[in-house]
Amino acid sequence: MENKIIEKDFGDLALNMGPQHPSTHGVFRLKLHLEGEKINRVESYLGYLHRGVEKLTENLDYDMIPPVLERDDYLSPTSNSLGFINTIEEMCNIEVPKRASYLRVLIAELQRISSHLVALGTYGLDLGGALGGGASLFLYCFREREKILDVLEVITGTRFHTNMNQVGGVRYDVNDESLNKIKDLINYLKPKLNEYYNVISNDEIFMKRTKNIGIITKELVMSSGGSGPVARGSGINYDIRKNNSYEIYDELSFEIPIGKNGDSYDRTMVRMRETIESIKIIEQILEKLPEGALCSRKPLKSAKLLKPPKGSHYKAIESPRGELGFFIVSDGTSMPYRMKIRAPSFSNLSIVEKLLPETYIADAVVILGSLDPVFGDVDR
Amino acid sequence: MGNVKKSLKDIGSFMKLPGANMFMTKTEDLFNWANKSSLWPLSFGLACCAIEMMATFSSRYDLDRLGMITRASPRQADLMIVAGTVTVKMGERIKTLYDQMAGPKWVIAAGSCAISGDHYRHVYSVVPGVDWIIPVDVYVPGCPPTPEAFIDGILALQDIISKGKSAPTFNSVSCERKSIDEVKVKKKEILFDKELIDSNLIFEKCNEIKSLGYNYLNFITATDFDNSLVLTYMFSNNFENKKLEINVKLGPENRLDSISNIYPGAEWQEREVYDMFGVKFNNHPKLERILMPDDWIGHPLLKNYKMEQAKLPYRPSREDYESWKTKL
Repeated sequence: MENKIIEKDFGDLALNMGPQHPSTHGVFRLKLHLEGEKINRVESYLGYLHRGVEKLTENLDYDMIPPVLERDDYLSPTSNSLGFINTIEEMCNIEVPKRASYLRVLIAELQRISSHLVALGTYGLDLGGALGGGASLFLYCFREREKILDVLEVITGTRFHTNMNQVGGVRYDVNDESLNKIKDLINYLKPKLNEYYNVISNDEIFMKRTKNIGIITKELVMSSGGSGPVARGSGINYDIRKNNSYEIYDELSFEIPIGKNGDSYDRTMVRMRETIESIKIIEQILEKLPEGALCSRKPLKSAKLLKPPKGSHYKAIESPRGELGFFIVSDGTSMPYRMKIRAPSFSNLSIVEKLLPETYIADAVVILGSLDPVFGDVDR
Repeated sequence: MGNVKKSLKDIGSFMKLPGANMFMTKTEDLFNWANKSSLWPLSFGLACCAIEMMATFSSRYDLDRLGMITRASPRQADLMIVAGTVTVKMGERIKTLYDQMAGPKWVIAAGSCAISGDHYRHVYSVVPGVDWIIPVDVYVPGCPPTPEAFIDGILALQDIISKGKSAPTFNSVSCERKSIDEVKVKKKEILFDKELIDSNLIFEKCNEIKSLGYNYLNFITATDFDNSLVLTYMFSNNFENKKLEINVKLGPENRLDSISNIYPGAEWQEREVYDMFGVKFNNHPKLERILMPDDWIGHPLLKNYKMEQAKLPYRPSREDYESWKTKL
């Protein structure tokens, strides 16, 4: 009998992923064109969470904008308002008291840890599945995150949309009780984060899933506008906290973790080592925290409306996802004429279309998760 | 077993017979009891509230003890937790997902965005409350609601189910907005004090910039001024910490060369500018809308596009919503 191998070209199979897929980290739709298990071509669709923030801010006074912006990148809300407020303060030449500046950085770094913990936990879900081994990583990460949120609740009254920052300073002060809580938190987190780092960085299954998957070259990052852990994972030593320091980061000593190969493993490791560096920053803040005023302006109800001088200004800060910038065009009135948010996730996510072709479908989720997009930030 | 027996006592009575135990209840009560004790929510999140929802499902608050396990497929789920802002583009998908769920099914609107649109309610792309699209059983207020509030909402839903009093509500408030055909806005004269480059020269200029070491494109955006749009390109040289801003004045036909050949990252940025301002880029590989739906009319960030105007012409009208309701 003749053995016949039946070969049939099934052609291009398009598979939809999202916008409600749990592994897209939000509302994102990927159309994967498959050949077998291999991805040939990718089309991405976004905008499912486009809330028109840029249009909305054209109708709000400057002091009303930070709480709205905090809903943008909902994993690290303080960074968002911090970036905006830094831009406004540079435009209007407003001095910030030292204590306020320290407190801003304190909250921002606490949220950097909590943001990276969410990224790591959901990454575990992506790799292992909700009922596989990944769920335990998720549960551990969220357990630590709850501790951070408790401290934020003690200081500001809310769990993560803290409304800590206002133009000219901060709203809430810390006292001995809350400082003690932060110290306890640091003592609790330090061994845990180190433990997770040691376990995960040597875990065979984790390494097999992530090493050499989704390699982003230096050139691709630079030309696509990638930033944050995505760029640093590829070996680019660029962190705005160091290179173009704002607030009081130049008074603190910390390292910038950098990856080598630019694969998913390196990006995750960069995030994990950053959390450990953030702990160092918080420890230094607790040592150095000066006494003094909280805000250089009058309380908001009696303060004058902010009216920055005519012209445009751009200022960027380092959010947990990368370069978060605000480009504000002022016409001299109390509302911005135009405000552009330079969202780090938007640029980081644009790499996906170039990265996914020629990979396997099982790796698509790994690569997407390693970019850590937040869709409030992508779509704005 | 003890807890199950205890909760069963609420809906019926046990009788001891010689040799066997008997439990007597109404079937309706029994089904309601089963439904409320195994609510399987669809795991999809929209925005900030979804993070709090995840926190509620995870370690500390642990919704498993209420019999809740998230399902990724709508076919297996019977509870939809709408956590986050509902946009027009997502609204259609939420409707589809809701239709795919098998009955009996319930909806919790969590967070002020899902309830009423909150501070986004006047924005062109936002649906002012998910109850315009699907019927809602329980509203959980908060921005975002705390996990305690989530659990409270779920317990309220269980109460509703066990009493068999499910009466989901649609939005009955008429929130028709005045339709304005033309918005007259006073546009400002160009506010930039920097040099404005002619739009024909952008391609050569970018080549020149890149050779100077500015190999990082931060963003591209536009501003709508009187008589013309001005495009702003921001480049940086990360190794020397230098930034370079280039402002380009556009002609009346709003057209210029794409720079996505030089900076691949410009592809999405240019699509966004096209979407929001209607600027057309020559030689762009895929000049389509990126944030708004494909069939959207108008460019939202232009000054004569009013924030509220928006639901016209694209946003589904009250009649559309009404016809969806009757289809249920």
